[in-house]
Amino acid sequence: MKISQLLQPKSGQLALPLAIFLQLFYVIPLLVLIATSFQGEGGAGLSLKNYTEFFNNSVNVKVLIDTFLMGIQVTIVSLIVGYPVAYLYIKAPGFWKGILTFLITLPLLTSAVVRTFGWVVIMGRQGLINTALLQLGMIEEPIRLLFTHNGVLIALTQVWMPMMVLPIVASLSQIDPRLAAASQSLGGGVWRTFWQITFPLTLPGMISGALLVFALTVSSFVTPSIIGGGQLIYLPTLIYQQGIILLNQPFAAAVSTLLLIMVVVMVLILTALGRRSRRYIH
Amino acid sequence: MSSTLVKPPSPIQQKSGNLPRQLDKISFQVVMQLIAWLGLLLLTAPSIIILITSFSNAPTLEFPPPGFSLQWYSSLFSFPELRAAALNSFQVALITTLVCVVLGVSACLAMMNSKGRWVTAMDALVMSPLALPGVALGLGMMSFFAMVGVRLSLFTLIVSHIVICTPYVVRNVLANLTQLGSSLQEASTALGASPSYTFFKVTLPLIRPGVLIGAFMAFITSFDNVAVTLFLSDARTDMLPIRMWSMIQNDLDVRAAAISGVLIFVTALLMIVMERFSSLSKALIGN
Amino acid sequence: MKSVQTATTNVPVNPQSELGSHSSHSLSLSQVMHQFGSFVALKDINLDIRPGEFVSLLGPSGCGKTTLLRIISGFLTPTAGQVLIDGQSVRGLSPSQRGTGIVFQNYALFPHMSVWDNVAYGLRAAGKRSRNQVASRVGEMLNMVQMNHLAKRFPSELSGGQQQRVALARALAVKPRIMLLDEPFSALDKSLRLDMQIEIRRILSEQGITAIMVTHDQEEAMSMSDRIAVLSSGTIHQFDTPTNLYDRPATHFVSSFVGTCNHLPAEVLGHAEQGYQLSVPGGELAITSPLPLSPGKKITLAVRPENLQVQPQSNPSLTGTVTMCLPLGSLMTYDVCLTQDCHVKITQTRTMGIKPLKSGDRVHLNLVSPQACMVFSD
Repeated sequence: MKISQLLQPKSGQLALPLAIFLQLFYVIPLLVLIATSFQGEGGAGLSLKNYTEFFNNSVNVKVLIDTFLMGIQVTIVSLIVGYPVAYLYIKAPGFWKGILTFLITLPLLTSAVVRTFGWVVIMGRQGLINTALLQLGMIEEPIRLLFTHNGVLIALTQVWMPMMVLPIVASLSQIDPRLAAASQSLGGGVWRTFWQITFPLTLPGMISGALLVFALTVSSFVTPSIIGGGQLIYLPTLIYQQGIILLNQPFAAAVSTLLLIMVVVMVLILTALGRRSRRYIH
Repeated sequence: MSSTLVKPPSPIQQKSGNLPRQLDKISFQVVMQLIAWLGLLLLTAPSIIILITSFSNAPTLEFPPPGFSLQWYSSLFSFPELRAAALNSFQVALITTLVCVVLGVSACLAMMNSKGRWVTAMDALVMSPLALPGVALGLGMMSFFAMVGVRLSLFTLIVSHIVICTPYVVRNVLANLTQLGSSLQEASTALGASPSYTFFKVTLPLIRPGVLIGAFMAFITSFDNVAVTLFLSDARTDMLPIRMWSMIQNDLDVRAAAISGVLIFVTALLMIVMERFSSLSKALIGN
Repeated sequence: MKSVQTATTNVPVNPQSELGSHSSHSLSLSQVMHQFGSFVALKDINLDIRPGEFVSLLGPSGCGKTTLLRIISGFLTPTAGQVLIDGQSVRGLSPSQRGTGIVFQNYALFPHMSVWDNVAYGLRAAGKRSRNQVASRVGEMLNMVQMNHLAKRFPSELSGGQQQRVALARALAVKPRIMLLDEPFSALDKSLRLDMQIEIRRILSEQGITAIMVTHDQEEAMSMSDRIAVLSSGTIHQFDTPTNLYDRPATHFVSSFVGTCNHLPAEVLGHAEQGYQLSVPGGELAITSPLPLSPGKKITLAVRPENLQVQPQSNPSLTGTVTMCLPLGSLMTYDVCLTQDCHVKITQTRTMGIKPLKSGDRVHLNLVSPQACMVFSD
């Protein structure tokens, strides 16, 4: 076939290479993963052995719950902190907008390893927070921040918050500024205007941000493994330990499947919510 | 009066009886600004702290540093493993990006010009790796390659990186193509140009910003990836993010701060370059 | 409502079209039908366009006129039917092989190319011409549209009218057999439109090119076209000269879409001297009709505002009260209330010294002549 025929505007053939590539190296591996998770003793037959093993151990169940909780907490904190950042960005005049763009997107584009390392320096025994608190005399002993759930929570919020800010900015910029003006001319105060007009109209942005932040948080490996250290374990770390260090691949596959289910269910719920929230926005 | 419709009434026009109204406005401003600046501090603190630390003259990791020097940056020059790891990562990211652009742009052309149901399915398929856990994908691909008897190598690594990086190319190029519309391509066709002439003379020059940004993000994603890389690189191939990850995890090596400093500088520089060529911020922020 | 008359194509032969016919081409559509899924966008379209003719496809948005243009240009394959250029079917030919030039809505100029490169695009894409041949043809085209001095500019640096000239030059450079214009004036300021209409019409007739324009603007269609095809919901209601379309609309839709028209429910009372006596709200009227009407039949009477005039009381006539006076330049339009739910509009030329009617006046109306109306059966 000649190249000119391939580039015929109507043909879908141009999508074929990517489609085949993804089928082969993405869809099939995922199916292999799920199949592996049902592998029985000695690699023979179908069984739920890996799943019963997982749920019979309370440590694993705690890891599952911790991961889910972490996802929810990071999502909520990024929403609360990220929304005002997006609001500030929208209201900022030209020059500041450029600076803010840089500040919001640079973290997004620098590697998660680098950013997490920054948190290690901040939260370490001789880190910024402990040094400051000690010098101020507010504490006598360095407090433990590294290797705690809250430490991981703060670091993950920083790592994924841009994913919340960006969709909210997009949503805010689509709101007709005359709506807020109309509300205020009708006697609505600033708070009222925000809660009754701006906030509901940015729901689609918040929901797509929440979707991304949740999925990315529960899938995070680098940050929890560094900040959480060896003691605090989340599902991705468990998968890594079981799959690569202990070479128990069927069990790691089962954990992966559970993590996949968690992400997919949350994505489906939030997508459905997103569709509903969009009905009065063209 | 039209100006008061657009902006909230200015304080001059307000009479003393408007105290609750003033309070309402001020409290809103204070709360919003306070959280926003806290958020910005949170966002930028780690990068700034790392930059400061990287110039430390202390032998161990501590903050604030007792003094400043370039010793950790100069120590990078006598660290050959690091150079090899960086080169490997660069090589993998470059090949990944090139393949992603070729596969992604051609798929986008087909998706743009077709209205069939398959477009929605294809879009979901291409974008889904963005939201799925990298560790799970890595494990699945590793099991798959083991099953079909392919040994882990740079090839398996690049294949896995293509899967997770293509979404960035497709998302940006598709947005660019949609914005462009089909009328220019139709105009070219109506003037007698062949499909390939149309692509190289009209479509490609006009979607270049989207292609560049997509390629940039794909490159960065590949270069920084840890989760998938852990499962798909062979033990002999040292990758930069993996090496940094273990350096930080095991012994809090201060040299990691200097590498981080270099990475932050390069990223910021690339961002500025990209901004000049194709308004990166517009693609990221969307307005 | 069904049309009584069917579309007629009896039109005086345009003598000019014979002159340019050696280089001009004809276009025919035969039994063209198109469906999007289960939605019928076009049905049973037949059109014969003579060489060198300027034809407009006129209709409201969603009537199928753009679909028809895309079928002619080859961007869409019709579900059924044929497109013929010079009597030969162009089925299966791509847009570039058909020899149809298109001026797009919003012009679709390539934003990354200069005016010169835009005009040269089609010539270079064909690849058969030398550098000199391309240059001379581009120069010729830019001269024609008086854009030579702006050849190095980019589209974003041009005004709307200039962009349109470039779009026209670009489409004409490759010597198309048929020129298609898709809402070419919709992006222009109203004040500029008439100038561009005259200019485009002049250039196209100088080149003797057969042209088809899609538009929803009836004034544009009336002022530019040799003939107009009026489309609504996928069918051609009438294909006729602008004056015939206005004076003798074939269907209720055409009478209301082209120009302003009063539609009055009427009942046939019986025969009068040369025609029929009708009962309408507010009185009675005597009309002539090419159609046979039987007494007791319910019909719709369509009367243009300028064909109703104020008269001293006579029989038969309509009686009503003026409710509104709208002075529109040289014309005065009045809204006259005949009965509670039946109003008509009438227009009069404004002449100095003649006292206009005012709101609340009782007036008697009659047709300027018994033929000055149309009859549609319900």
